[in-house]
Amino acid sequence: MNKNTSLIHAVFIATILVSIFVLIITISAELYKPLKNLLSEIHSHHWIGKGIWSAILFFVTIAITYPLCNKIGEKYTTMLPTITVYALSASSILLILFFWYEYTIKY
Amino acid sequence: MTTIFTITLIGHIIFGIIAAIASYAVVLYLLKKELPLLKLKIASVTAFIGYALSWFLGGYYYVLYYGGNVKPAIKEGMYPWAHVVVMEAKEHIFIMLPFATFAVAIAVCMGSKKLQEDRKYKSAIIVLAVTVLIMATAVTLSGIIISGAAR
Repeated sequence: MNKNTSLIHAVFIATILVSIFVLIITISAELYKPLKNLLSEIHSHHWIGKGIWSAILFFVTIAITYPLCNKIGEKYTTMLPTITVYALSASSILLILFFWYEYTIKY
Repeated sequence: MTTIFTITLIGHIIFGIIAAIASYAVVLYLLKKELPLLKLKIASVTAFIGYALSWFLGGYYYVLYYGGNVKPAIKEGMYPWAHVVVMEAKEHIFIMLPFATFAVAIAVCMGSKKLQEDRKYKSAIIVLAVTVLIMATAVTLSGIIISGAAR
């Protein structure tokens, strides 16, 4: 498989993982305040911390999966962007629903 | 609000809108039978850079000004949901947007040959580009709602 396709696959995998990570870290930090406080203490603000760790996860995932993608071939070329759509959509919708739930119980 | 915060807020909005327009252009170009590759690559890279700049400028404003000055006013006002639901969702969905547009830009720039030859792959990238556009539109509309609630 050519190097371009391997990189494309690695970037899609990284995007999928970042989508899931943002969902998990956001909900976890809202439900478990010590995590939110830890992010704030280390990075001066929890949102900055989530952004930094998302970027780290993104580039580390690319670095790890790029050589592996050379071996898996082209069979996932169409599947990966589709899974990326599902991951982004599900994360976005679940985040909205979570914050709506938080609003209904607090207000 | 000091000048620096006014500038960063305006920059956040302008770069976000430029990026959203570029995302729309990516979708339109992908839908063409004959792909205008140069325009497609420029649009996809513009979208990524626009969202990234909007991210940093918005983040600066959000961390240093919004939290202490705007958020309390919204939460104590008539529309607390504008922060608790809309802003919270917006700020976290917005974390994903630069990565998603980077993926589209890479798929377009490095997979242009495949986009032209493989219909299924092209369709999958179109759906991804439309998803990014919907997310960007939602984030932009959220910003309008939050501005309205802050007034």
